[in-house]
Amino acid sequence: MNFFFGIRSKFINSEIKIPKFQNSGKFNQNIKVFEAFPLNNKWNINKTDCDENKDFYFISNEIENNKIFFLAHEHEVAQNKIKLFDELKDFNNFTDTAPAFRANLKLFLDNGGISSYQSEYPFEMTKRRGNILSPISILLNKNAEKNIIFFKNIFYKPINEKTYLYFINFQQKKIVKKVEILSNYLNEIIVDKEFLNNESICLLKIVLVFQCICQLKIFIYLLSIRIHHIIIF
Amino acid sequence: MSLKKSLLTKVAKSKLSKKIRNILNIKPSFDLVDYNTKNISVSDAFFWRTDNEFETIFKFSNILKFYYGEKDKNIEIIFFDKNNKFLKNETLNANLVNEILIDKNYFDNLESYGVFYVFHKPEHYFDGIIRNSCYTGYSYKKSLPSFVHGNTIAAEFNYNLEKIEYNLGGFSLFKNNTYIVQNQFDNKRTEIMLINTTKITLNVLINESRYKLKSGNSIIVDIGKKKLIKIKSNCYLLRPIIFCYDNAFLDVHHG
Repeated sequence: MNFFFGIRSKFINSEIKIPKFQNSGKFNQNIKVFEAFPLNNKWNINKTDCDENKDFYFISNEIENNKIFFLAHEHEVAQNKIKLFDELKDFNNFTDTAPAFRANLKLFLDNGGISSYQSEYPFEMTKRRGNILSPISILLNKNAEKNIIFFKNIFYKPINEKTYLYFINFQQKKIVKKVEILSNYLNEIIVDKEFLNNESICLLKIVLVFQCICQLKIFIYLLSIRIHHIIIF
Repeated sequence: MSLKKSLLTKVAKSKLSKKIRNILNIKPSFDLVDYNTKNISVSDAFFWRTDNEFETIFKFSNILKFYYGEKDKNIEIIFFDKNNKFLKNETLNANLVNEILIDKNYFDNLESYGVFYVFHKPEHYFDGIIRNSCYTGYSYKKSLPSFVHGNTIAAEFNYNLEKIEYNLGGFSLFKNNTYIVQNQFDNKRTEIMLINTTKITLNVLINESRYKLKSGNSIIVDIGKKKLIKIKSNCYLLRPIIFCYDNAFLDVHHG
């Protein structure tokens, strides 16, 4: 299954569109949207009251940086009566499709400018650990008014585990900045322009499971890029 | 891993196995790359366009230099037009991070669209498969570009054989596959761009309109104000690049 997330930020608005259908065309009108957030070492799970039409759920005002959303049938979530969970569960396989299930995360500014991302975050990823090592000058823009990395790291346990994101000078092999980030939270990192130099490339290195979105704001525009290069062994 | 499981995995990854699975529609594969083969570079089918005042900005890192400290001149980019006619190729003296502006001047005033492929050549035998999905940005009337990453494996450069094979998309001869883009389009106008990454001619149904798309060819289709996009074809992964126009703004993403 997949979880979905949005962004609440003073710089940007977001909306998640979760389809009620698989990309092969199979519909499920009985499936509902639920939200989960960690509190007191439990996942608190509730049904989300959001807008919908016959094809999609639309989540916007309900978005919080500590929340995730997912599709499930009521009986799958309420089987314990009390909707508190010690860890995230693989509630159903409706969003396990090939090609992969998509939920559009629309980022937009009040005065215009839109950009689409994928909101889905596979359940299997919540249990894996790993690193990202990537040049950031390819992702961001030194001519931007502001460069921001939004970083979401969903962990199956209901905790806000602390880890770090490092900016590294590639030529000197030296850490130039260290930023604290939390699991199960949407981390917002404003990137200094001095790090966006092709000659002294900076890297992101984190030590947890990842799902990363980078976006940048150029005056009233958005530019969206997703980290996606792979070496397969 | 047991020997039996290891052998089964190896068989499943082979090109022949993928072809058979695709014909029989049993756990079909989106591509026909043989993942048992090492020392190859696979490429997504990247889309360029210079029509209607579009420019394409291609950004990529030199991943062999970045991760393995290899030399600069190891990236080859090969361009084709929308009818799969070869246009040009470039072997780049690539830095760690690179950017190419593809405008009409790049192709001698050609205002059109098509496909390109990117291969990373290792200095020595590479015990793996290299894929770089890069970032392709589209600028409309000099607007700031909207970027997408590559999303469909379509070609491989086998450095053992010094041979490129194109059109490695998975397809079935017997079954039409439906792909509904999981987004609702509320913008003023939407275009989709499709590339036939298979070796066969595809008869494609996009909403209610039919199109014939030869192997390696690409097409841009205006969807108008339709809220949903439904694509039916013999290809197992015919996912479009989507151009959403909203007044002065352009949002490009993959389906």
